[in-house]
Amino acid sequence: MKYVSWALVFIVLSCDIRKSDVEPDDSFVRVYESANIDEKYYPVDIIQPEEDYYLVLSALIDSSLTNFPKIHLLALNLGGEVLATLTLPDNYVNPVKGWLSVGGNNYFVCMDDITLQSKLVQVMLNNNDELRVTETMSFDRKMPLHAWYGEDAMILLSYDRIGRYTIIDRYDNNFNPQWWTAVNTNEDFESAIWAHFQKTGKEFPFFAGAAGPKGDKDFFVNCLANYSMALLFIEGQSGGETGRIYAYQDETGITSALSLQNDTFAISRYHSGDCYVYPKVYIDRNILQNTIDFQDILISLLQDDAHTDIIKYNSDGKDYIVFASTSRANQILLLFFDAVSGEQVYVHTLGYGNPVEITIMILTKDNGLAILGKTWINGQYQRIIFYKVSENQLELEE
Amino acid sequence: MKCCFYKYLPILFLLALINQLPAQSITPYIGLHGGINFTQTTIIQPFTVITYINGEEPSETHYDPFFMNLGHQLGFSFFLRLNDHFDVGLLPEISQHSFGYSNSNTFYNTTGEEVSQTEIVSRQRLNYITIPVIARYTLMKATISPYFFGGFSYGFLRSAQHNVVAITRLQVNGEELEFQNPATDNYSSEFIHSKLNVLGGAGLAYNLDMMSISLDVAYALGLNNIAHEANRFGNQNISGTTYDVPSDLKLHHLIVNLGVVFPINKPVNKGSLDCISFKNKRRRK
Repeated sequence: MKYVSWALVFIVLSCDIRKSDVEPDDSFVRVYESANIDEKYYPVDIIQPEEDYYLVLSALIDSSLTNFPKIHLLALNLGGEVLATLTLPDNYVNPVKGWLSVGGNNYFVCMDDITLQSKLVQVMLNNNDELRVTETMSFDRKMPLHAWYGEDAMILLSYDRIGRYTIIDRYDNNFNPQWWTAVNTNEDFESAIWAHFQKTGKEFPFFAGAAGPKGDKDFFVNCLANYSMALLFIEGQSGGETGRIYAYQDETGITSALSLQNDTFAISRYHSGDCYVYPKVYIDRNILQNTIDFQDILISLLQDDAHTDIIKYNSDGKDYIVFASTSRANQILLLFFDAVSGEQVYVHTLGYGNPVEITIMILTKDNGLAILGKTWINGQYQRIIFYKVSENQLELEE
Repeated sequence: MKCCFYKYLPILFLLALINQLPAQSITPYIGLHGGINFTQTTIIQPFTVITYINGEEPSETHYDPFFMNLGHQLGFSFFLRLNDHFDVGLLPEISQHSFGYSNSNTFYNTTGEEVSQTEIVSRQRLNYITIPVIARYTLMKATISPYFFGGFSYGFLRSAQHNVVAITRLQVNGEELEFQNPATDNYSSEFIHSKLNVLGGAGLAYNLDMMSISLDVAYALGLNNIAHEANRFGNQNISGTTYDVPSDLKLHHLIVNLGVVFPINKPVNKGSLDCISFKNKRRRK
């Protein structure tokens, strides 16, 4: 009798009924829905400016009579719930990728719908959870393509449709111009860029970043140059081009690059549809190279010319290089590589059933991953999807 | 172990009481029971993948009424008859509880015309090993005797299955086109292993010479959230196809059981069931 009694006590007391240590903010998936089927959302970028909220920048195509996609802003709490939304007036269009976090303020670059002038817009979330935007300034550049801020410098890519140049501008912390470089495209890309803006054609993987030893940063930009996309290496002080990785028309190109240390990079590229990644490659920034010069890893799971994003990630003191891209099965793949050995160690898959497509991946302040992408509700209506992946969900071996 | 210890004090008290009883005063009974159950849900906190951004109210999830949530259970019955009125019982069983719900969203074009509708119809089935521990009070010693009982039950989740259908209806030139996208998956990891209920009920026992047949009805009130918070978004087969994720919820059950028990080593003149064969043997001696 006593054995039965104590067995019962054991069963009851060994239960897992308790308050979970897991917070709703740790991991979730959210799809941001509108009942209006005429609205199409194109997520552009996400930032976590403070410990307690995210800002999401999106392009919005609806039934408005604008020439280009409008601008939609979302403020989300840590659980992905909507704090505030804002659609900017119709004259502000074409938000370009690249939240600019300068001096504690958050900005993005967009375009005037009529003049095509580049504009800098500041975004604030006040204490009442209301989104406020202020046009801080207009840049003397038209058709903005990409904006990036880091190492006390802002890089703005734009296109000069008269001279057929890609213009690379560097600004300081107060958005004063420091230098600019014009790169000849040798071909009229205006209609292709309009299609890029209007989401009616191929979307070019424009990006920029900093490279080189700390304190003496140079830059790299992925832009249109000499008939194709090319990754240009720019000297930080003068803006002079030091080297380039060129591609072949729009058949090949670099889709993302991350400077690891000095001349060591993680890169991804596409070649006639196939997608390749290289978690650790030496690139001489002072020579002319081709995208096919690297012995990199073919990831045949990925969609043709898949957009890819890269970040550095640290878990339990170990460094990883993480590539996020879109698979042919319409899922988002997070490919983890050991930063030291360069070996692939883990794949995390997001999405099933309804298609999802990666836009950007960032590191959150709790050392999780925030992944922003597109999805099609019930396979029909294009909306924003936001995955928050906690560190605990990643099955990285210690 | 972070659970509140005081929740289990009644059980510990009951077990301590059993241990203190002299063995010769107890009549053990053994038997079988089985029946049906109906499940009712209490949503502690709803969770969903779909989040509206333009001020639209999220569509309400409609949970099926309890009489549509039919399940079943089958198990062994062990009773200890302490005196003519008072029994304690252990009723280990396998049980299945089911509950269903649905949710629909309507989509409009800019002019406000309804263009399509999506309906998600879900049914979840949870299979438990359940161990109710009850105290039973019999009103009178008779052939047909009413009784009341109460206690706790601990459920250990064996498996769970989620069946869901996403139905899309499109309005095309006045005609309605319907597409169905069904998904079925193992949902065990979306729930914690433990389910604790406090239960009470009443029934009638038909006492025969060598057995007692009982029919009773009980209501089991769920005490804990059964959703696994860490794995809420873990099943992408379901959440990716239908945007359905488990909310924090408790399960309550209306349980109908038919049972039969037999005495073991029954002492003479003890309990409501008399074993005539024992009496006859004693008389012959």
